[in-house]
Amino acid sequence: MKEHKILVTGTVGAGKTTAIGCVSEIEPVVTDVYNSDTSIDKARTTVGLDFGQLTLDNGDRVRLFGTPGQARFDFLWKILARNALGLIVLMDNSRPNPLSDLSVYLDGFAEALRTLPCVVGVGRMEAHPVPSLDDYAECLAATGRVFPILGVDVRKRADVVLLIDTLLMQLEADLRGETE
Amino acid sequence: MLRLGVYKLPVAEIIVIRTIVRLSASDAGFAWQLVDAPPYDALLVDGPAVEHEYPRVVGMAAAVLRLTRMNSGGQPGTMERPIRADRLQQWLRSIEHALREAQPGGLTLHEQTALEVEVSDAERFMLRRWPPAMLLRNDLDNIRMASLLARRALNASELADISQLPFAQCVSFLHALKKAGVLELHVEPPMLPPVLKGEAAVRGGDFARGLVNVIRRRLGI
Repeated sequence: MKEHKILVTGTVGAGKTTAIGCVSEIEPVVTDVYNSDTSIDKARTTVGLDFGQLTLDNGDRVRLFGTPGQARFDFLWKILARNALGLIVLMDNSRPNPLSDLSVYLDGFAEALRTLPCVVGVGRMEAHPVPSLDDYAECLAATGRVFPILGVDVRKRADVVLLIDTLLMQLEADLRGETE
Repeated sequence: MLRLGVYKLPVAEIIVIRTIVRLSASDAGFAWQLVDAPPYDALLVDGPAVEHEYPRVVGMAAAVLRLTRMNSGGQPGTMERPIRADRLQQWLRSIEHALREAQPGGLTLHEQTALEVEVSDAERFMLRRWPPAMLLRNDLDNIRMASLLARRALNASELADISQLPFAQCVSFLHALKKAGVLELHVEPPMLPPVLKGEAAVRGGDFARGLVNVIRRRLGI
């Protein structure tokens, strides 16, 4: 039995724990505490690791790890990224500067992103359509990166599954290279 | 003809829209018809009524316009009530233009030559940036093809092979990407990824393929 992991990161309140709960076969193990940061309008926030789990039909397990959202935990991001199958970055478009938020995660995971499949999921676009998905694409392209960028509602399983599917497509593209 | 739909709008507004579309149809250049069922190229929706299902609604058409109350601030993607024929026609024209730009229909001789390049096994293509939302149209097949091309330079045959989609669909998508200016040509063999370590190292071969497949099965993809 092998264990694999997919990381879910993103800003505080972007819905990392919710996304994991959408696809996990177990109630996500959460490490939320009462938020003491008065700049963030949220009663509880993740300071440790959240995780959910999927047991595969060959007995292997996929663990879905939600990272702490705050940049001060970036030392943990690097550790978590080791040996991961892929990274899901969740953005909250209602925040003051989502593109700047994205840069924090691109920088924090920069080393891992040289090889790690990645997808960006943007939430709350219905009420906050700007920046658009195309703005995110431009922002990524300016850093020389091309990752899938999708509008999502992390309360919906189909949206979270689509995020994982795009990671799997990237893994398949890697496999093509390895067989040539 | 392009297909315009309506969703969760009051009957009175549907009648207004139907009338505007019918009157506009007298103009030979008007490309829209109002339809009762999907697929839609564009969709008019009631803003407040779809507030909690917007991500799903966005997936129903290439372009979605939310009708909002008067003086609601004129956010992007919205049109304030009451519905005005000139504003609706202007929006439809802009969507028509964007769709025509994004789709490979009506090829010129130059474009046909370009298409021949896209079906050549010698040339591979890779995304230089993630494609515009208008081009992807939130279509699952498009998103999956784009995800592959974001990662590796592929030719049309390889794209069809990995994505399990029809070859013609892959060629058409490549052409649309090329027209949108988001594709770059790789004439050399595709670059192999950097040396991978740990979990990544086991991606090679049947084991990794099997892993991808069992995760897909587990998620019902």
